[in-house]
Amino acid sequence: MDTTAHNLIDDVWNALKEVTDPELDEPLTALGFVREVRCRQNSVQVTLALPTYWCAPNFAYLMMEDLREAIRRLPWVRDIQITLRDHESADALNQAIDRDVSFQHAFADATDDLAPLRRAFAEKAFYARQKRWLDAIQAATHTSAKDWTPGRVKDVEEWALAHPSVAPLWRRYQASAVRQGVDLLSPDAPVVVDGQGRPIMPDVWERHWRYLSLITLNMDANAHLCRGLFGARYDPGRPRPSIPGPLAPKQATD
Amino acid sequence: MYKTDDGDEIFVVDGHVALWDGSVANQKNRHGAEFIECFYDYHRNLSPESWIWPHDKFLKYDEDTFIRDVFEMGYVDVAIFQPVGLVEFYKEPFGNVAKNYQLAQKYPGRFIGNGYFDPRDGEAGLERLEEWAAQYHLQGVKLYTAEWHGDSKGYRLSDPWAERYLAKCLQLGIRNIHVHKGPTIKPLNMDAFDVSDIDAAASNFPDLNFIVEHVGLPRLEAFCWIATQEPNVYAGLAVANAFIHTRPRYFAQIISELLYWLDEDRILFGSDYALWHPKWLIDEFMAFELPDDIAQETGVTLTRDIKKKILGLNAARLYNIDVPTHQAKLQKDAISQRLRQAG
Repeated sequence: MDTTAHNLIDDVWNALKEVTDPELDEPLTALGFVREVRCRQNSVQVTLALPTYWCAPNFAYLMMEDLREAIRRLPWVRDIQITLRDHESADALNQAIDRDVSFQHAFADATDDLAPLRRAFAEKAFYARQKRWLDAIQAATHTSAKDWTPGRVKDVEEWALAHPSVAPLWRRYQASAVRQGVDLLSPDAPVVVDGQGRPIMPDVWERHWRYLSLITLNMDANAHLCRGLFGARYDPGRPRPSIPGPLAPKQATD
Repeated sequence: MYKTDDGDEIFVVDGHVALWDGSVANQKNRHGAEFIECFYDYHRNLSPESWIWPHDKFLKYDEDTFIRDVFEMGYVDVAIFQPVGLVEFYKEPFGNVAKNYQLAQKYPGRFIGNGYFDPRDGEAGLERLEEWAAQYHLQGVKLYTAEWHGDSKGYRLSDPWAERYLAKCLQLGIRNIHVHKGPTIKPLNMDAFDVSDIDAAASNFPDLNFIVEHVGLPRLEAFCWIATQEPNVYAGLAVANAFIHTRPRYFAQIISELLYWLDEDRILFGSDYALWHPKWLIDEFMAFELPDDIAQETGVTLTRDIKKKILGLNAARLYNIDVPTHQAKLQKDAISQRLRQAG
């Protein structure tokens, strides 16, 4: 293995590509939220920033936990430090991730672990990917999804993989199905299913389609807002805010 | 009042305005600074370039600026104050019920001044709500479920104390409950933006109206689902409105989904002033047409009659404003006189 710092840094960035914002289902690296990676021998330091000071700390915890786990999978890494900056719960979150403390132990008023939250986000990502794949088929075939009868994997997979505008979205949909525990690999598995793998029947197809539309619209609008806020917050031309930084000089009377 | 090119006069109620004090002098701590900075990022992010305010003006603006922007430039006939106290972050409340009331007194008929409550204030808060209801003639309250309170960092409308406060509202004739699902922090293990508690509250209090600000974004799908179940749930357009400039297609999709899942009688315009200026929002909204493909997919239309309902008639109904009588009264006030002079 090449151990020059430069290649190690690339190695880390590569690993981080897999980590998504759970609400937006987009890689943190593509969103620009990962600000910096530093490596020294077997130690990795990652700096994370979010669109607002108020982003929900449980969402932040999920992201930081996923970042840590992605880096842990690199065989050469010994120490990991994930630092969230400019956030109301930064200290508590940074400590919890550093010491491998669960969310409900780090935050006194948390009543449960984050597994249900993780599942809820995973299911939304699954539906969003289903919709984006169906949209790509509509565009490629110039047909309307309203006129389709949802088929099985064997009916669509070969066709999907042969169309460059559809293939990557099919793969993404399949990947989220695996995470969801839904079978989208067997030839006889139905392709348009709910989050538990139950096929969507023709009588609820219209309703299902509207629900998928809402899920993706919400995600897109939210992503637009988050990117915009992030851009405004870290815009180099932003007027100087009135925020006392952690290193602001203390008044003599303090 | 917005006048169309063909002479149609449209009554405008801005369902969400504020006269806040986010100034450095009023900030109690770093959180107060961060709160207004976050607002400023929203403002800069979604406003057209020429409507962006200087930073210092945004922190605190005066009454004359408000009156000119909202009523004289911004077409608004009646504005509804939706204050949030944020007393953990600011020395004087960020949104100040008493100050709002003073301004409303100077311009009769121009304002509806809502109050707020925090269920974590217990019995003392119930008493204060009663006092405010009598003193300020409250018809509505703004609830910010993400507000900090001691060690607590948020609450849900289904909490037992929240239910007691809602029962008190009903008793006091406070019918309109505006709910802002901010980036709540509690319950910490759950989805911070979850809107399911509104479902429970709306079922338990069928005689109260629940106006969900920001149409539940970023949980639009859950909000739409709840609104189809509960006839007393309304969509407040603040924030969603502002997409009309930077992302008109998202705005088209959002408004068409709302028309599909709710109906044209349950959608309310709100600028969220001073986050966004009502003038450009209303100009762009009146000029807006749904793209054909979106109209086709949802099967809805956005006619002028529907725009009239969204811009004013729906809010007028919730706040018992008789539009022709009210318009006649406003015609004689100082603001209308100035507008006529200006031509």
